[in-house]
Amino acid sequence: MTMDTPTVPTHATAVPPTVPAIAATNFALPNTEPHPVKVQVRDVHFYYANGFEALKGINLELRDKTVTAFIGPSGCGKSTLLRILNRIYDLYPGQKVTGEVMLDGRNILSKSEDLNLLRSKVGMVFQKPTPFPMSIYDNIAFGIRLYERVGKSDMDGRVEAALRKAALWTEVKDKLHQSGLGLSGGQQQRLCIARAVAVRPEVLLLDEPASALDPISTAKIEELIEELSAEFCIAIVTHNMQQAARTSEYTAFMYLGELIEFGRTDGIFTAPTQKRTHDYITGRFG
Amino acid sequence: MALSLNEHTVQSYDEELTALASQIAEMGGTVEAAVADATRALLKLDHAAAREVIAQDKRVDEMHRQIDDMAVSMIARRQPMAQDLRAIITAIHVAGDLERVGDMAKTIARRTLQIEGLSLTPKFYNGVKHMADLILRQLKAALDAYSARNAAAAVEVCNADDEIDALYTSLFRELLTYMMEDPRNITQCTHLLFCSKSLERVGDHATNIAEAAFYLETGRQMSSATAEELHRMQIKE
Repeated sequence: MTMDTPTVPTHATAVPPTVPAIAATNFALPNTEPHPVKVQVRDVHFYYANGFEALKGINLELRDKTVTAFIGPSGCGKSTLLRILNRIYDLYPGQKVTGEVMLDGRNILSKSEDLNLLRSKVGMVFQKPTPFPMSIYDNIAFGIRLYERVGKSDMDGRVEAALRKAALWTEVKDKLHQSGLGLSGGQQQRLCIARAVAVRPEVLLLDEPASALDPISTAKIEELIEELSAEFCIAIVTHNMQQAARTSEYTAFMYLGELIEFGRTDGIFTAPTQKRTHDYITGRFG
Repeated sequence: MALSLNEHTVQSYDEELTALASQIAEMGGTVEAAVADATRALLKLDHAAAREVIAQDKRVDEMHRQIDDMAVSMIARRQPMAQDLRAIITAIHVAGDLERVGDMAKTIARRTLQIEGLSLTPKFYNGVKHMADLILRQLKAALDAYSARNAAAAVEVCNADDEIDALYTSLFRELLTYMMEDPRNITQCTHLLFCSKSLERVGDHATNIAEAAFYLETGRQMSSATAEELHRMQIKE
């Protein structure tokens, strides 16, 4: 064989370099990935009201029916990115985004986007359980009523289906009309997930959904994430790297507003290509 | 070299990884010495030295257990990732290979005890001696590549394994010729043939260790494609 015959796929380097020259900015996954692209983030910059640039040109894609985890130290912009995906940031005056976020090919950052409709398509669950001060039943029904006119018996069915999906039904079926605030922390969080899935979203954003929960509730949430990923495109922000490794198929590592590395989770956690990713996941940071 | 490693934020984690690496290095040194001693005992028919090699194998087994325990405990307590994870997983593999190399040394020593007489005929054992030298070099190179995390050196070790295989084949033929020449040679030559088979297996374990070194360093399994790629890069350099 001659030296320059390209018989093997050319990798950038056989051995990763000591310091990567430039962090790659375009992380398009190969076309061989099994699931279609659901959300495409293109050159997204985010500015707080004081002008601070919290995201510096993010490019990545979320695949349908998969879980993508966002990891990185506090303040790296991962929650900010999540907040852009359903435009929660719009609630705060002065915050500004440039770039494009394509959901099924539509730019959701455009001014004409119907935000209520967007948020029914892109559900979100926060770190602290945030049940409404109303009954378990109404916590679920509330969201559905916002978007649809549903009869009593249909509504009962929808509430049950949502609670079943969130693996909460057997625990609450006899007390549906008691306050949602009376549930344990783990149950409250699953109630919030049930509330999010009840409106039949397409994308589910989870911002540290298990960080305030005990290990058993955490395991239940993780089990739930795995089941829900058969139906939804899920993005999860977590500080727990083992959780990212356990639950996701793709992982994005962010640092100081930049996307440092994005790829299949098993690759990121066994052989990351960027030194900063390596240092972070092995506990050599700072 | 791949990623230059900073220290862990948790210092005791670094200390444990260093301790694991030095345990492997110590076990490697012990096993290398065992193979060298076993070969020397065989060639000189030194039964006392052979018994010593057999006794030493217990220590190797104990080291293997210690490394396994350490690695399991680190996986459970530290949840290692990336290069740390690879360091721990390959330590388990390498310790397993070294333990088998120790067994091969013991096998040679045991066979030495079965050979009667005062000495072997030099023309019989020259080939075995040559093979043992080559194997020891391989083993040392593999362990060096592992401890230095040098993928290029690991590829070289793997490429050199063909030489050992060829040597074993020619040694087999040579010893067969002596046996055909005179049936009285059969006993000694058969013993030597079995010993050279053990040595050849040590070479295989050295290759495994080199493959572990490659994986540790690059995060990729060594395939013929990756080895070729690296070889090409070396040529270009």
